[in-house]
Amino acid sequence: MKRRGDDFYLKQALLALVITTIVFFLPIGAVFLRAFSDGRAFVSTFTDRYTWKILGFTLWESTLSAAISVLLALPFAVFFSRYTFAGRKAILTMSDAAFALPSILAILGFVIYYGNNGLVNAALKAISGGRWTVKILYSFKAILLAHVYLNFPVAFSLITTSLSSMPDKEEQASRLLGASEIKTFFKVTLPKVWGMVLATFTLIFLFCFPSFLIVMTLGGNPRYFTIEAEIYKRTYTDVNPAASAALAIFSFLVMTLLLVITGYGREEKKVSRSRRVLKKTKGNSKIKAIVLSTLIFLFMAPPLLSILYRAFFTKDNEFTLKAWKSIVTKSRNGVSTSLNSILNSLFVAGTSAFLAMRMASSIAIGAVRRKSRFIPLLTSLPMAVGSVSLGLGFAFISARIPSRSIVLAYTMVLLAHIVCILPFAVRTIMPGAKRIPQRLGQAAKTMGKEDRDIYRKIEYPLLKAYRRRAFAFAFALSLGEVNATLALSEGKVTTLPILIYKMIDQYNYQGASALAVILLTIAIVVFAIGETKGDENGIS
Amino acid sequence: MAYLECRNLRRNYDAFNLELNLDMQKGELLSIIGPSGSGKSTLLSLISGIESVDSGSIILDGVDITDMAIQKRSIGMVFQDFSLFPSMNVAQNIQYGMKTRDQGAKDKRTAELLSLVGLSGYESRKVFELSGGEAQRIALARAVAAEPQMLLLDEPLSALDAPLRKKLRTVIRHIHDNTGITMLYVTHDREEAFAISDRILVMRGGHMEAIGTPEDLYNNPPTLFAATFTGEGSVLEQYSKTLFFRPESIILDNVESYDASQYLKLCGCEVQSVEYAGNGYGVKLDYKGTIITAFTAKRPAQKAVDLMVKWDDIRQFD
Amino acid sequence: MKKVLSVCAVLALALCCVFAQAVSEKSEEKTLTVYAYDTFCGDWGAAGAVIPAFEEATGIKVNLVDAGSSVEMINRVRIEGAKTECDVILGVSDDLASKAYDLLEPYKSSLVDTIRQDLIFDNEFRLTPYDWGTFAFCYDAKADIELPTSLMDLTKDQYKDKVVLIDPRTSSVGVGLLMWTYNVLGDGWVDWWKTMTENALTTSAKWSAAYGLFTEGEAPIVISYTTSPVYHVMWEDETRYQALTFDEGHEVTIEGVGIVKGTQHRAEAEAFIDFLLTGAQIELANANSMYPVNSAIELPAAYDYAPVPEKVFRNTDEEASALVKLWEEKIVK
Repeated sequence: MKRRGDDFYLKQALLALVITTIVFFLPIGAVFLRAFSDGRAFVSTFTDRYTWKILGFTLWESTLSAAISVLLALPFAVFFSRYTFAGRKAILTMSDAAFALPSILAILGFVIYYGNNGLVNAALKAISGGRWTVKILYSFKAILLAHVYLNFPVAFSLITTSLSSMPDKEEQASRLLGASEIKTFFKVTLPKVWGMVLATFTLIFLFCFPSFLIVMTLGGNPRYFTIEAEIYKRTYTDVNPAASAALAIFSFLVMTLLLVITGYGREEKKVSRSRRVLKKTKGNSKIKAIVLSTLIFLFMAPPLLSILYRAFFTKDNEFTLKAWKSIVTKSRNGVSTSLNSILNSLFVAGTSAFLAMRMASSIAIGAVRRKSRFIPLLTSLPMAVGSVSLGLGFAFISARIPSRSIVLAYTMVLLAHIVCILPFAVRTIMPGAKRIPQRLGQAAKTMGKEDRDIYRKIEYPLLKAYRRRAFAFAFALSLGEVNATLALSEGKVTTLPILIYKMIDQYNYQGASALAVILLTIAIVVFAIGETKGDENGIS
Repeated sequence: MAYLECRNLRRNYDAFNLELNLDMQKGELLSIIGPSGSGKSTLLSLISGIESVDSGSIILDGVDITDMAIQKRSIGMVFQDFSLFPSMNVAQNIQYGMKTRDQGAKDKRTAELLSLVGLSGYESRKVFELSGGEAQRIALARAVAAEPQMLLLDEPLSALDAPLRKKLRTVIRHIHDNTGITMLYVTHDREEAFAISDRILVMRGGHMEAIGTPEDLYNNPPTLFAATFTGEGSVLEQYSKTLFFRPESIILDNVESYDASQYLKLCGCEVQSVEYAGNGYGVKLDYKGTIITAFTAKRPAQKAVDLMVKWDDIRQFD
Repeated sequence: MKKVLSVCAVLALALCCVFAQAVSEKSEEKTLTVYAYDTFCGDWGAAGAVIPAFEEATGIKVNLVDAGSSVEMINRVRIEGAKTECDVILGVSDDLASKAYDLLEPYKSSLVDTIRQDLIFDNEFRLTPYDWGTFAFCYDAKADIELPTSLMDLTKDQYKDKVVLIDPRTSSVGVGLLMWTYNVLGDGWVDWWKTMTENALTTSAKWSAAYGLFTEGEAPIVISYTTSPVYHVMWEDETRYQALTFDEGHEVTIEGVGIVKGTQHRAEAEAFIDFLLTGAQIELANANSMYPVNSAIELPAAYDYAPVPEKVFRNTDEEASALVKLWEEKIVK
């Protein structure tokens, strides 16, 4: 029983749906259609034991990676959502930034630190006089380590955001009743954040599912091969569009199924007026804060610092500014290529993240109010398509809409970025939207207010913490995005990560590291601004 | 013609069905009481538009609002959990629904309303700093500020403690008398209903059981259920009839001479307990296995007593 | 208000960026449209030097379109069909050639005689070779290893965890390596790969990651190109990275350029191909890290570190596809 006039949220979501349809559904549909041009390829994909074997492995590594990331993040998130202390924001900001790193540089940073000849092993050798070494990389464990490294920040910051915005009266009550901290966590806290935990798990799973550069390079064995790698192989090595489309559909179905399953979540009914006040650390908790911050720092920072180090030092530990010089010398029309790519990255990431965050807010609230799981699922589907298929889809567009004009090129890149990051923004905001009690909207309606007004004045402000997280997230994703930009701009829009890949193709790994330092700096500055812009929790 | 008319209102649920006709006059304060699950809050949801009716119609001031969106109905509502907007301070909450665009007028009206609810100077407070009682007063002020044609109050005081409830119900009546707004007030506390209402509606299982002024309902309840629900009393089966009388109509003193035809006399009641209540004594008696509750000025002198009730004070139900 | 301002600020910045580009772009009179793969394009690619030089030499304007990877580039011309604006398609390597032949019209340049004869992979000249490279293992001279002299040497215990390979399923370099082992070892390639998957440090998905591991010192040997040391000599003045040539022969990859069927600019397209075979040859060596097809060209000094193998193998892409399939069955299934 829905009344007329309730379609404000639908209108809000409409823009996102139109963009998603043009930039995603139509081209991907066309790409997928090829699967049916060769019936045998389609059937053999579903009946081949090899496909299922790869699927099994892909599911296994993604599930483990996501589960470990979330489990590891939980205790940290619980602490960081309870106490405030010097360096808290710095840690949160740093963990967000790692997310923007292109995976090739994450691998390099990793190797510099954890590699057989990396810093950890160098230190061990120095201590033991050359007797001790640990082989960390080139095994299944290394895949997990790298995935957890890249995704722990996602889990950590999302769950911290969610917990910080919930009152902790129940926890206090539980402690007063004599329950231990651990019991309180499992019986009281965990059930409260369960929705966010599940949403985070799904996100990370979906990040790990299509990963193959990391899986194959750090796994050290050709047996470690994922579905996305197989799609890549069928597309670029076999050049068999029908077979690659068939497998892409197969993978798409698996991911969509996961999206549907994890789309559930409870909705808040009552309005609670209490809120959480972050405590100052003292004594014991101060020590804990130092220990936990140090642990995160030791885990997150070294690979990033390794890249910083490599930007200034050669492999022989000689200081050099050559990489930086190589960055600034190339120029066209008096504008340095690097500066141009920095501006491009800032503009594309800033604009698309801002727009995606706005759209995601209305989609999330609208979906919760209308109890519709269809629209968030629809806008989430680009997440269920791996980058190879997405790239094919974009190539399909650029073959039809050649970006002769620079304005069109920018527009297409922006739209593509929005489509790629919107799912993550929606998934980040959704748990927040579910925490806004329906009663508030009803109360406002009894004061004669329309949906539009309620959304703007009441619901949107309440999402503040979640929106900020979604923006940071979307910004980082867009900042690191390469495929869509390459496919749609015909080389007219060069962003930082594209330049990084180009430099690597020209053997200039040091220059790439220098650009990565710039990229990380941008991310950190943007997130730091976000973190300092008031720490008020929206939903209470 | 009535100000609010609910005609043949129907809404079916798995657990019970709501079926009701109701008329309210302009400026009236009507309370709804009834056991939990009798449909009190559901009725409010239907009138406010939060839930929609299966059939029947709701007419407010001559306008059929049955299928109107909530926000078009001009019906204000106050909730048990206050539902203040956490992102706004007190003044912003109150001003949220105001019709005027003039900020000066808004501020002036806010100050008036805050003084009406006894919270002058609270404008810039944050809502999560308020106590429960303060929060509900702000919610009342906020609802009134939107100038609704009528106000629905859904157990607004249930979340508060007893002394606060007493204090706030006076505030509510004060607001009513001051603004003349038509109020429909749901409560589970009959004392509260008696204290502030012009009329009371007793609901049971989704139906109207009784309606009338507090005095009328108390003294002449139309049904045994309405009788027991509107106050204490004793139920006695006699001569295949069910007799009901209030504690204060019972006479325990030995009256020397009286007209026997005007009184019911019950001999040989055994006193079970006596409670002193300041203005009298609450006495529980056992009459042939039936418990009778009496309220008297004096403490009963003996263990076994005779009691009398004037027939005029006795309600008989078939 | 604050929000409106922030939105305005973002939009203003956006417009500035776009218009700054639009102004610098101008409305050039476009005559020749060239599709090239991504690494060729951009200021860091060979295009940065080759295209302006061509425009200056001939007065023909070039509209260079970055069409993604080589496969995407071919696919795109195919999808666009008769409507395509593409006149010249640049960077189709010999291992993809048969996927593109039906899109191209032959052009036998008067300069074909300057091309090293064993590099001409299409006798109909639908694709004309313009540069080439050979796959080779590169090593770090500062690492203390005995240099292998054949593929079989690498399977020895002393190279355990010292070699980084690249997977033939996800990289053309990997395909090259596979073909190389097949051409040298015959059926022995299966055992070679079986041993090497254990002996190698890892088998990377892409050249970029494999070479990164190598320069970070994770392994002293990596599969790459004989020309790989050139960059380090030219730009880093570093000679520690060197290429190994084996007497048993090496696998080559040849990049070709072709004219798209139905072009309106046949003359300009021919001029472009001719330029690639003459004026651009040295630039291609400098910026693309490939050998020019014209052996007469005098290479920069850094190419002293890029030994040209005596014996080379060339294959067709049909053979490659079949072999990758076999590899999959024998090595991983």
